[in-house]
Amino acid sequence: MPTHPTKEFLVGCLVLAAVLLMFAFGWLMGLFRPFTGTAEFKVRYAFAGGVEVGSPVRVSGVKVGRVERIDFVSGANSDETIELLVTVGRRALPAVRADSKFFINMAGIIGERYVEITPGSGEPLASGASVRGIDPPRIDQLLSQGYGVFGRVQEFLEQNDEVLTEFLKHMKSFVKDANQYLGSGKNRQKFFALLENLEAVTGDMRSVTGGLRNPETQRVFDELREVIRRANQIDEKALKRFLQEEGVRARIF
Amino acid sequence: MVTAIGAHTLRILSHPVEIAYFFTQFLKLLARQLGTGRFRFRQTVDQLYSVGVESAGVIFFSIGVVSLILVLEFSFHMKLVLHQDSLVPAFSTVLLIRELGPVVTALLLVSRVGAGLAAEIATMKITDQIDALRLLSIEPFDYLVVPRWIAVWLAAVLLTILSIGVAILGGATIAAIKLGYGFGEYFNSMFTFSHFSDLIGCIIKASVFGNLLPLIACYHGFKAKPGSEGVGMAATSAVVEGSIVVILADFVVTYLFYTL
Repeated sequence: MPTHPTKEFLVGCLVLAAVLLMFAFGWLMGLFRPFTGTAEFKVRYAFAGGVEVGSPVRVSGVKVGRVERIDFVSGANSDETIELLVTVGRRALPAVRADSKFFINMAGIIGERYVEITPGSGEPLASGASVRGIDPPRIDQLLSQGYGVFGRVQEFLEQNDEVLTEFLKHMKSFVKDANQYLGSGKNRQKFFALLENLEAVTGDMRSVTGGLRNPETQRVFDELREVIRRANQIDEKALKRFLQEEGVRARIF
Repeated sequence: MVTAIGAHTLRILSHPVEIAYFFTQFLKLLARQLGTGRFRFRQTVDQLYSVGVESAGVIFFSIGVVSLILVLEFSFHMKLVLHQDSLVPAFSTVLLIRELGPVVTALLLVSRVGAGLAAEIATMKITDQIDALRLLSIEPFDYLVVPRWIAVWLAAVLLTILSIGVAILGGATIAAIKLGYGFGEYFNSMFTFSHFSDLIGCIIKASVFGNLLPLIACYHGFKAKPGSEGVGMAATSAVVEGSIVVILADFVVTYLFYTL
């Protein structure tokens, strides 16, 4: 190296520094990874939820890779229309197992989308494996449907404005009358007595129905059902003739 | 009056035509140099040193200060609207790569190099040095313009890349001192919104600016009027026109590259 840098040396430094910086930018931006091994997984979804090429891939919240490619596919399962090719850094591979879940989540104040892989406990997932991801919720559809429902409710309210006003007016009047009625002590006592009687009746009913829920009652019901089934099989004409022969004159048929 | 309007119109129209002719001359002579293997390497390296290495200090200092302001302003605005400034590294980096890096570098090169080139060639013209070159059978355009042109072009691209690096370092430093960011935290999140295509766009911009700058500077140098006043006017015109052209070209390249 010369003691006093020459023009050529300094120009060379300028060029070299710029080229090295370009490589550094390319590396930091994920264009290439010369020093780290990665595994690739194909993750299929019915709905990608806004994830893009370059979106981060995280395992337990730690960024370990990125979405490399997004393809449209038509497979055996008709609902799977999107396939993401994601890369995961070697250091995170032990956590990615056969039972790991691949979610599409949203982070940050501007809603950045990313693929979140939950650690599993099954067999390690081999590089190149194809897995089914968990579709993100369709917030847009939910909002759209909610908008439709609210629209119909509003339409109903507008169309039945008079009826509803009348109904509310009557309700108000009814509540007012009830309040007045219960306001006097005598009526209040009657009302509470009524409630007590009602409670006693429901208690009795409960006791009766409880009594019916035993094997003996069940047997009686079974026999009754059998009798009805047999009665259904009796020939209508034969039964009529039998009743007439027996002198039954009732207007059954 | 009609004659004056006509003369003025012709002067305005002739300007871009002359510059276009100038550009075709450059391409023709560059092709000849490369074709005959008589590329003026020595002169090009000298010019690259003069334009690139000697401009580096002023450009790095300026872009460094710009990055400090950028980070502080982004933090202020994000806190104003979002009540937090976690996206400052990502936003400031993407703006640096897409806009400020190439444009600030080009404007500083216009001020320093554009004026210098125009004044140098204008002085050579008014002191008949260009005619002397012709007498020596040296094509002045071939000898003076082509090496400078290539040097400015290369220097614009190299300095833009390096200035982005310096600006990122400056931004990370002020973020660490003033905003409480760690360097690792800053570097981890700074490329959230930046893609390599943005960097390619940045290099294309720098390349366009690096071509326009010597074109305008050399043109005004060759067209300089006699006398010291002519030299001054050539330098001034090179800076003013160069700055306007850089800003216009920035809009055109941004529109073509990022919106189409």
